[in-house]
Amino acid sequence: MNIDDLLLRFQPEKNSVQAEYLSYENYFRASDKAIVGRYEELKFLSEKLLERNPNIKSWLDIACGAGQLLPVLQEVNINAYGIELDHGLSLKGIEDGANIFCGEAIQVLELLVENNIQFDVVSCLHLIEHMDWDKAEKLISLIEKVLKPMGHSVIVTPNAKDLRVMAGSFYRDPTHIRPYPEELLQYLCHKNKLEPVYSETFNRFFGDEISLNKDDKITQAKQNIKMASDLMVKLKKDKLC
Amino acid sequence: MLIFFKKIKSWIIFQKTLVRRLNAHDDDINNLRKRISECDQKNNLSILKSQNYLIEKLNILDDGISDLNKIVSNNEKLIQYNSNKFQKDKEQLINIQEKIIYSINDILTEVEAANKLISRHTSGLNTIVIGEKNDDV
Repeated sequence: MNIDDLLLRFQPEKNSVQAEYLSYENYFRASDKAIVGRYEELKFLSEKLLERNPNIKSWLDIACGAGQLLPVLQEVNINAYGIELDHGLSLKGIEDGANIFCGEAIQVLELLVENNIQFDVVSCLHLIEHMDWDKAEKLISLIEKVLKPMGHSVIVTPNAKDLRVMAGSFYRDPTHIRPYPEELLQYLCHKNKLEPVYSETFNRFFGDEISLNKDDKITQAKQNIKMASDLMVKLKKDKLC
Repeated sequence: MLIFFKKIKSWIIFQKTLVRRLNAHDDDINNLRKRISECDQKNNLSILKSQNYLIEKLNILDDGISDLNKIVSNNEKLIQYNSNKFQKDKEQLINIQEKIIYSINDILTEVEAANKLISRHTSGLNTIVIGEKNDDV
């Protein structure tokens, strides 16, 4: 079975009620500024990978949402495919011309492995934190199997060492299960024959900074000072500093 | 005549002391401006500028010092001025300015401590790990 036949097996239902995540995305991330910011970030990501490997021809984006990354990749002649569980988001992406498998990531990946379909790059932006450890291990092992030799995996997840994340935004998403710290991700990749070649923490990718306007930033700065002040009181109380 | 010269000498000494203190204030102000700028760059604390709180205080200092400079650089006006009143007023003004500098210093020290603590715990909202498939691993 080729990839187009498989795509037909994973089509979204048109009148699905499973569009909860679309509603979440619209509420938190749908401002024009956020959409432009997201496009720029994804373009930056594709350029970064192309610098490392100029021969990238195929790319699979797991948990692709409405497929925002896929047209960015098509612009540079990369065959781009996405996997998305949410029917509402999948429908939106397909209507915009994206190739999206609407289904559960593990199930789609297993079928791709069975049919010996492989990609130069497999990205997974903000999905792993929606999985428990066993499922995350399974996901990474399947990513390794659908990658061509010397292919690249890209995993992005909230930074577990950042107070703003762990004291706020991480639990704002009701579907987050557990954080995956940078070192744990590196270990998980290494364990599955995906040797970490690049790793860092950063303030981009659909972060609060992109969707906030100037006034919100001032509010955020005020909150930061308050948070730091409270923390200092606590540390002093505990005699840690 | 002798009394007049003594008065002039006393004014000159006072003027030199005043200039030295004002110069010290100049250094303080430059230092404060630098620290405000660093605070703003380091941790996105545009709140400092947006509220114009510290800038406003620095401007008060600048205006006061500018006025003082005008007075002390004009001996003629100085001599015409009642010496006791002059000395009392200027001392008071300098004391107020020093208090403002101390209060800005306190605020900055607090903000810098907050920045240090925040930057230790805000390394970035996201983590990215890129792996390369390698069967030799």
